[in-house]
Parts: sequence; structure tokens; C-alpha cells
Amino acid sequence: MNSLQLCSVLLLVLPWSFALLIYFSNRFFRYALTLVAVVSLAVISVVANLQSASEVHWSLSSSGSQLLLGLDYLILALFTWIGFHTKSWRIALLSIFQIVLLAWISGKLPHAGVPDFRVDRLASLMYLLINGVGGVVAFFALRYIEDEKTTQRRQSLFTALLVAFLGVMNFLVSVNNIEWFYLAFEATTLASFLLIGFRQDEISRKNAQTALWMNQIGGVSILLALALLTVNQNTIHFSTLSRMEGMFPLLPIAFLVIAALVKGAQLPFSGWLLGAMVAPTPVSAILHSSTMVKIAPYLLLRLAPLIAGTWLSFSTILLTGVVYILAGVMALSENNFKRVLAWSTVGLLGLMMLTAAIGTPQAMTAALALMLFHGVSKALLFLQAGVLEKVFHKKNIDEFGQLIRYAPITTFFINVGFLSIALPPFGAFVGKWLGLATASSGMGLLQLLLPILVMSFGSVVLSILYFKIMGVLAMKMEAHYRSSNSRAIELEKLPWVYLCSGFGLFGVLALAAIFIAPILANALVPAVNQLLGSQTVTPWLWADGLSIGLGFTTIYFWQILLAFLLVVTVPPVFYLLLLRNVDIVKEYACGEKFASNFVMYSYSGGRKVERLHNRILALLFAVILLTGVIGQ
Amino acid sequence: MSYWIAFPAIIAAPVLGGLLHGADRVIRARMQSRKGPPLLQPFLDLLKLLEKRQFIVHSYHALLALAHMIVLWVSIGMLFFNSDLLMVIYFHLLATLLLVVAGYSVRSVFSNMGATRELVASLTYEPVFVLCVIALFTQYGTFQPAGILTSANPPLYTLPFIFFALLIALPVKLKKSPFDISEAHQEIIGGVEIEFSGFYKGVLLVSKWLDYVYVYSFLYLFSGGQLGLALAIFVGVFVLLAAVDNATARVTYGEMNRITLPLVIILVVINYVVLSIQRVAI
Repeated sequence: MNSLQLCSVLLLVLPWSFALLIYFSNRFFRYALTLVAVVSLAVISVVANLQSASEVHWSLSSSGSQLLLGLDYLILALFTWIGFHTKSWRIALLSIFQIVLLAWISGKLPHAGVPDFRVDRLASLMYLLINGVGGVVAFFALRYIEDEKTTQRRQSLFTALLVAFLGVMNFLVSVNNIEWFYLAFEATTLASFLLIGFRQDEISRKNAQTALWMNQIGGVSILLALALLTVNQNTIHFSTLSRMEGMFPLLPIAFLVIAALVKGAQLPFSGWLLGAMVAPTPVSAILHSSTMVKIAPYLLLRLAPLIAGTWLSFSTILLTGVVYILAGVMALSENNFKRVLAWSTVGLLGLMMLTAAIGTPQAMTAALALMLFHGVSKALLFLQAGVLEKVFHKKNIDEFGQLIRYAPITTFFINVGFLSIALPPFGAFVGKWLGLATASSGMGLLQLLLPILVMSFGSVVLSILYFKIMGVLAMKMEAHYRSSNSRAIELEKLPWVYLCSGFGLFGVLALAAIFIAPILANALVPAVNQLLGSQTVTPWLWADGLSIGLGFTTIYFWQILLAFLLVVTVPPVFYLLLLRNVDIVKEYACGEKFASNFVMYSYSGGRKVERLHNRILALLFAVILLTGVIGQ
Repeated sequence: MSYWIAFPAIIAAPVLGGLLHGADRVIRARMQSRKGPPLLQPFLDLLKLLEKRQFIVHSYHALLALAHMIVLWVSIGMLFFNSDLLMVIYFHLLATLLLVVAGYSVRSVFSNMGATRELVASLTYEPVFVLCVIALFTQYGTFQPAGILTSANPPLYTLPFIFFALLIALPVKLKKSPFDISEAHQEIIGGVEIEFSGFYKGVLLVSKWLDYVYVYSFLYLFSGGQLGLALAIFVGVFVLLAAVDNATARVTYGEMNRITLPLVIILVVINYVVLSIQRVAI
């Protein structure tokens, strides 16, 4: 057993053990155990990424796989029971259908001696995202959940669920066998069902059920793919799939893509992710940043080498591209902060899958960078949504006016969260930038047209959204505020857990921004190369010190540093500065006497747009299937 | 551009922009058969503003104007220093953000509305700049100005439709009729500008000049570095913008988006189709 394997086995086993312990502990041990779990998991995932070995495989004994299959049935039986219990026939029927399908498949599964676990560079990077960012969220949840009206036992349960979720995700990214991938997929569905329904009120239950049946469509889709693969290809492993040569029947891949799109909450399946907002905020944070929805781009990255250049790739680009722009428009029409964040996640997931589906090394690196750094930014943003909710009792953007005055730290974090998605030098921006730069990839000009148009418009729509909110945070500060020394700046008092998690994520973002060149060149690009199975002689991206070099352009370190200075440091410093020797006056407003009580503009067409486009997008899903059939 | 030219050019950028602004005012006046202000009027305006007693609403608001100007200047500096064009565009977007935050941060309905419109306007022009840069990249294989400026075939000839798309976006960026919605003096009294006075109003004036330099630097890229062509583009666009500014009435922001966005997309698509036909033909 080499050290990479040791790391991944630990990452598979430890979260569950910690979760069990946390569940049975009181408040002190809950804090202590969660801290130990979070730190140790993060350290192990860092160690896993520092290994020189780029890939390990191993298999379980046959009794182990029988056990996992049993687990599969157990989850499905649970779903069926939930379906009957809640009288939700959709859930029950989907579960029963899956049980039948699974029973049929499991009799025929090929045993080709292919290893069932495979940890490659992509999986290691996913470990980092899952355990690093997810860990911070679990840590944050410790304090957050104490403000909920619930018992100590349920508080422990909440934290335990979050930690166990990390274990499920670690399992999901480590498996090579698609049948087990299905198991992990269903397990994340279960975890999200439990977490979304955590508050146990009417709306939580309803939305948890929505999440359940929608994600089960993804499960059915994987099973169909599995059935087709078993019958036609006699292989059910990612590693053998990616080595298939020549024309490959695309229908099973199309089913897997659909599963990814459902998990990635692409319209019209966005309902479950938006419904998840009723849960305690750490749930949204963990679903949006490091787990659950990130399965979608992860799966697409695995499939990208297979679909690159096919009509399936094109139809996926079309659907995700439409979603990218529409989600931005939808977000512009929302007022609830968490829903705005959710729509922006939906949109950015679209972008990630779009770039992954293009399937060139540049585009896939873009998808990977977006996936990883979006996780950090979104976690930071959702944690601040939690802080706003629990400390300041604010949920809607139109209540956020003047937040900068009484909550400067929270405002700073929110601003950094948004800026790190929209502007240089942050990782997510570099992802977008690489996506735009993908034009070098030698695709045909016309094939390129759609992604280019979508990316240039979509990113501006989302930027406008972020800028609007950042404007509202500073909105309508009183004219005489801080006009003299007497009114020094007051920082809000936040619980230490909130502060630590905020600064922790900010630190990650800042370090990743400064060291973006080596991160890209030494971690992300090799991971993509490994996925593509290419031993490229001339690298297309390299780190020149801390500058990013590409054949066609260079981002110099001084530019990165300058951007960091202007984006992160200048606005807060200017906020702290006080001008002397000036006269403070009230606003002129052209002499208007009426009180301006408008708060902000929202785009009003959202609902209508949503209904209309749900139909179009359902059609696009059919198109994806169709392209799969044609590929057959 | 070598450093020895770039440095002085960056320092001189506001002066250049001021002259452009002055010339613009003169030309517009002449088109209306007026004499118009002297060429150096913008500088006189600036001097007067700088001398005034400083009235501000609050420090953050005033300082954001300063930050806006600094970031604009930096983005122009990066352009002159042969930086990645997408980086330049996103630096420029940061400048917009700072102005928007400033606009929202005061209790003035016109300022707030101006900030919102500033955002709407950026929806119209930012994608065009991005699309321009990408089109330049597909044709010349580089994101840096130097590679485009040394090519034998100037972008104006290879990407004419993209150039037209950029022309459509220019009145939005430069706040000229019919797309001057974010300034709209008769409606929202200058928008974000309204709550600035004295020195900080002067800062915004300089920012306006810098915007001229930014836009015309982008247009310069389309000449491929050929001076004669550059001059022709410059004079043509300059006169055209002034004429359009004089001849048209302001549209609403909704109309602006409905007019510009489809046009821009169609133009881009046409250009790509033409390019790909050319490539097949070769």
C-alpha cells in the first residue's frame, strides 16, 4: 500500500468514524471532535496532493462488493419507504424502478478484473475541495446550529451528517466502478434529503422530497447507462471507458451526462437546489461549494475525453450555455440573498459543464479551476449569508443597505466572495479567462461561436448581479456618517467560529490568487493531461516564477499583484480613510425634497422567463438524448 | 510599445484624453454651426474644479471616485504595457464597479439611478469588448496588443463586422446620444456624477478623458499599427460619433439593449461565418 492509497483509504474511513463519534457526543466533544476531524481530513487531502505517485488502483474482495451492493438496495428500500410514507408516488415509483433495474443489472455485471477504486490527480484535487472547503463549512455549522431551536442531540446529528457527507463524496470521487458511482450518487441524494429536511417543518419536508425525486431521475439515468454499458460494452469502469478507441456508442454517455445535469441543477431541474434554501445555511454552503452539485462538473470532466467533438458535446454546450445566461437573468430578479447565490451557482455550474464538454485541455483546465475556486468563493458567500441570518437577522438584499457601516467584516467577506468570481486575479476568474482563451484549441470557428457568445454575455450578466449587491451593501450611507474623528469605525462582534471560517476561506482565496501560476501548471494541467491520457511534449501552460505563461499570452506576476492590490486592498483601505479639511454637506439631489425610498432595481421578468424557458430546456434535454441515440 | 514610449504615454494619457474631449466639443459645436468652446476648455474646467472649496457627502463616496480614476489609469497603463487584453477589460470592469458602489452609497435618487444605469450600460458594452478581443485572438493568435499591431493584415480588413459591433458599443461607453442613458443630464442630472463637486468632480472629469483614451486605444488595435489607417479610423470614428451624438435622441435603457444586443450578436456571427468561409477557401 503506497502513501496515496493510504491517504484515500483514510479519507474514505475517517469521516464516517468521526461522524459516528460526533453523533454520540455532547457539546464539548462535538466541538473538539469536529475540529480534529476537519483538520485531519484537510491535512490528509493536502498530503494526498503532494504525493509523487499520480494514480493508484485497488479492488475490494467480492464480499466487500456484495456488501456495497446490499447498501445500494438498502438506500433504495429507504427511498421507497420514504415514498410510501410521504405518499409521494413519484419517489416510490422511481425507487421501485431503480430496484428492479439494479436487480437486473447486478446479475449481469462483468467481472473483468478492473480495479474498482482508482485515485488519480483529479480525485486528489477533489479531495482537497471536499475536505478543505467542506471541512470549513462543517466547522462553521458548529456555531450556527446552536442558534437553531433544536435539541443537543439533533445539533450533534447535524454536524455528524455534514461530516459523513464528506465521506460519501470522498467515496464518490475515488470509485472507478460506475455501479459504485451510482451507490455514491444515491448516497449523496440521501444525505441531501436528510439535510434539506433538517428543520422538519412543512416546507422543508416538501423541498426535501423535491430534491429526492429530482435527483432520483439522475439515479435512473445512471442505471440506464449502466445497463447499456453492461449489455453492449461489457465494461462498467471509467478507466476502461476512457480507453475506448474510435467511434464510441454515445447513448450510455448521454445518460451519464443527463445524470450530471440533474445533479448540477441545470434548468429545468434547478428546483431542488433552490428549494434547498429552506435548510439551515451550512447545508446550502456545503451543497453548493464542495459536495453534491460539484458531482456534475466532476462527472463531465471524466466523460469529456469521450464526448469531445461529438454532437453530444455540442448539445451539452447548448443546454449549459442557455442555462448560464438564464440563471444570471433569474438571479437578477431575485431578492432573497440565498436564492441569488443559488441561481449564480446554477449558472456557474452551467459554465463549468460547458467548458468541460468542449473537451480540449484548455477548456477542461478552465472547468477544473472554476470548479475548485468557485467552491471556495461560494462557501465564503454562503457562510456570510448564515452570519447575516443569525447575527443580523437579514435575509433579503433590500435589507442590506448600509451593511458596510455596522458589519464591515461581513461586507468585506461578501465583497471578496463576489469579486473572486468576477475579477482577476482570483482562481475562478482565471478559469473564466481560460474558458475564453479556449479559442486556441483548434476547434472550428463556427463551433466556437456559441461558447464564445455565451461566455462573454453570461459573465457580464453575473458581474452585474454581483456589482449590484456590492453596491447595495454600501447603499445610502448617512451624509454625516464618519465626518469627523468622533465616529471611528466600529467592527461588528462575531463569534470566533464565524470569524475563523471567514478568514480561513479568505486566506485560501488570497493564497490561491498569488500562487495561481504554480497551482495551474503543477496541479490542474497535469490532472487534465492525465484525464486526456496525453503525454504532451510541449506544455501549453507553464509557470514562469509566479507568472502564468501560455503560448499566446502571459499574465505577469506584477499584474496579479496589482489586481490583488486594487481589488482586495484598495476599497477597504479607502473605506477606513477619513478626509480632512473638507466640508461635509447633505446630498444635492438636484434640490429634490422627496425622500428617495427605492432600494434597488430587480429585473422583473424572472418568473415569466422561468416558465417559458423550462419548456425550451426540457426540449434541450431531449436533444441531448437524441444526440446520444444518433451517436449510437 | 517599448517602455520608453509606454511610460510617457501613460503619464500623458489624461492630457491626450482632455484634448480629445475638447476636440469633441468643438466638432459637435461646429456641426450645429456654433463656434463652441476653445480646444483647451476641458483643462480650464478642470483647473476651476480643482480650485474650489471641497464639499463632500462622505469620505468613502469621494475616495471611490479617486479609486475609479486610478483603476482606469492602471487599465490604460496595462494596455500600453502590452498586457493581456482580457485582463485589461476586467480591470476596466473593476473601475465601473467602484463608480457603481460610489453611486449607490449616497442618499440621492439620481445618483442611485445613475449607478443602476451604469450597470445596465456595462451589460451592453462589456461583452462587445470581450468579443472583440476574442475575435482578434482567433485571427491573430494572441491576446497581447504587440502581436496584433505587428501583423501584416490589419484587423479592420479581417474583422470589419466586429469593428462595426464595437462602433455600436462606443456611444454607450462614451455616454453619447442615443445611448447616454447612464449620464442623461435632462433625466437623471448626470447620474453618478451628481453628488460629486470640486476636486472629486474634477477626478471624474479626468476619468471621462481616460475613457476616451481607452476606447481609442482599442480602435487603434484595428489599424494593425499602420499609421495612415489608424488616422483614418480615428478621424472617421471621431466625426461619426459626434454626428450621431448630434443627430439622435436618447433612447430608454430597454430600447438600448433591444437595439444593440441583437445587432452585436448578428454582426459577430456574420464575421465568424465570413472568416470560416475564407479559411475553407484557402
